[in-house]
Amino acid sequence: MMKKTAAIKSKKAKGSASRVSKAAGEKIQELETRLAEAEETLEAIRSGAVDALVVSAPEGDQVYTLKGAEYPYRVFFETMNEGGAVISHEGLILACNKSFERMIGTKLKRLAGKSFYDCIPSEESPKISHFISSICETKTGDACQQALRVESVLLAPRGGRVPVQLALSAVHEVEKGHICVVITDLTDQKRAEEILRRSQDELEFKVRQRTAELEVTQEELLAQNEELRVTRDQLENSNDSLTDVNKELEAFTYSVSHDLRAPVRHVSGFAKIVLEDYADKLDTTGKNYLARILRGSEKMLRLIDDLLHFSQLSSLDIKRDMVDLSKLASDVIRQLSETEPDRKVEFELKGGLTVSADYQLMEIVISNLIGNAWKFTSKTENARIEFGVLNQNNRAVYYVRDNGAGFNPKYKEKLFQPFQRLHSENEFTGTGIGLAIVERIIRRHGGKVWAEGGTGKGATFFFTLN
Amino acid sequence: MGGRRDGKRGHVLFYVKLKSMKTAKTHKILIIDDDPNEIELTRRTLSRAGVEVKIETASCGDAALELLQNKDDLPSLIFLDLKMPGLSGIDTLRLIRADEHVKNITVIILTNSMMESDKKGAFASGANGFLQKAYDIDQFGMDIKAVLERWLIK
Repeated sequence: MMKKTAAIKSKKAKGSASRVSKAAGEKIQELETRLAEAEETLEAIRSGAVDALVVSAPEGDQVYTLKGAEYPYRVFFETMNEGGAVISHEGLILACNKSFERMIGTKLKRLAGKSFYDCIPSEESPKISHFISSICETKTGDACQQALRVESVLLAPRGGRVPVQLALSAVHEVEKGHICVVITDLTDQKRAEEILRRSQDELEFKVRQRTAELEVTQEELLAQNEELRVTRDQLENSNDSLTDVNKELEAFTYSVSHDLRAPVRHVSGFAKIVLEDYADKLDTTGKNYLARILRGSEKMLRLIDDLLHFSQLSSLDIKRDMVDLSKLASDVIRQLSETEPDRKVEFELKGGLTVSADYQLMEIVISNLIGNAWKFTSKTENARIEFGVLNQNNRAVYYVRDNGAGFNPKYKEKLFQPFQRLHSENEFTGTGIGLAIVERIIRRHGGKVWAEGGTGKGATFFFTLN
Repeated sequence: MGGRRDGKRGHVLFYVKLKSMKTAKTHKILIIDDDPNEIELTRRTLSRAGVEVKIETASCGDAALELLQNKDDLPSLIFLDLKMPGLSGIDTLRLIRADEHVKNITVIILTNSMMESDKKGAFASGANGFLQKAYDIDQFGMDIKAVLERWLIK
């Protein structure tokens, strides 16, 4: 003690006396005296030489006992939420608080003298033992700052386990080898951590699941995309080959028609020349035969022209316009009546049937259908031709009906095939191309055409347009 | 109707004397067609058109171009078929139009073709007219007569 005071004094001696005022020097002297007194008091308390201190204060002298100083710490110790225990370096419990009793579920009376190691699971013992040894080896210093903190487990009542943090401090000053243990219950913290971890896991799981689902969806989409691409390619290919086939077919039909037309023209032309220029050199039979040659070649030319016309239909562009079908029908009827003024046919025409279609093509359709009705009623008494419209499933169905020769319904599929005829040339003339042309035009308008009828019972031709 | 046949290079020459003499001088008409039946029908039709003409024929484009080398006796009008083996009608027409000496001769396409594209192609290559061979020879006669009146009797 004197040595320390001497050291301060020597420091002071080193400083220049002129720089330190006399008052400061007196102050230092006073403080040194008080420090020495305090040192002596502490030593007296430590050695048990004093039971109480009397301290002078402006309000009068006060008595401090050791008991008085310890009491607040006792209150802290007993009321804090953490468990607290003092154990020997062998692990014997020397003292503990109520929180520790509550954690362990055992009364203090039964705990005192018991081993701390009985309060923890056996697998924790080596670790705790190791920590106790290390804390005992700490020599001197502030026990509060040198506490070792370690997570462990306490055995709770009914086989429960309480996760805890142990803060171990050696208290060499009081009793060599005594250790203070502060026990913090980590149950809530652990539970919170667990909940957090689970939520995180759950979230991660959901994220993984969703990602996987998305990956599957993406793969499906890619697969669908690929399928669509393949289908589109196939369609394009089919379309290309169809276009090629169509073009070839048209070129072929055109070439055939064109090349057939010339020789037929020669046959007919020269037959006519012979009839005109050499009539005087032919008898009746000769002229008759030449007339047959003429008729035959004319028929052939009609077939060729029909074929040519038919082959050109598929390459024609549809130019849609508002077309008055009723007016087209009445025009056709007027023309027919003019060519055969002696025929008496009753017409029933529904007026104002206007559609969106190609005018020239619809003219061909109406003229073919009404022309057919006209032709096939030529041998019918009280011939009657009707043009009108029906409503089928909210769709307009136009029809041309006659009470003429009709057809055998067994062959109705053949009606719309090119050059197919259901009547002999003797009965009714024709090349058999008309309805095939009608079918193709209606189909190119996105519609349908069909027929109903019976032999001798007339025929009705229906068609729709898109 | 009379004349003489000249078998050389596959072309035939006819001299036709007609009743009516509507033109001041006798025009020469060149028919280029690979089909002798077509030539015969056209020749007969021309002979009855009421115009005195001298008719020369060629069975292909090459033969026709050779005939046209005779600068002293060029035709006033050419009837040209489109579909021929070897030089096509259009090829022949282009060569005629490319030749300084003959490029101003009236060329009428006479064909069985019903194709609008053929018609456009013909006019694009320099044809003066496009006549589709009518099936009926009486109609054909009227068509030919109209061509002669349009291009020869001006």
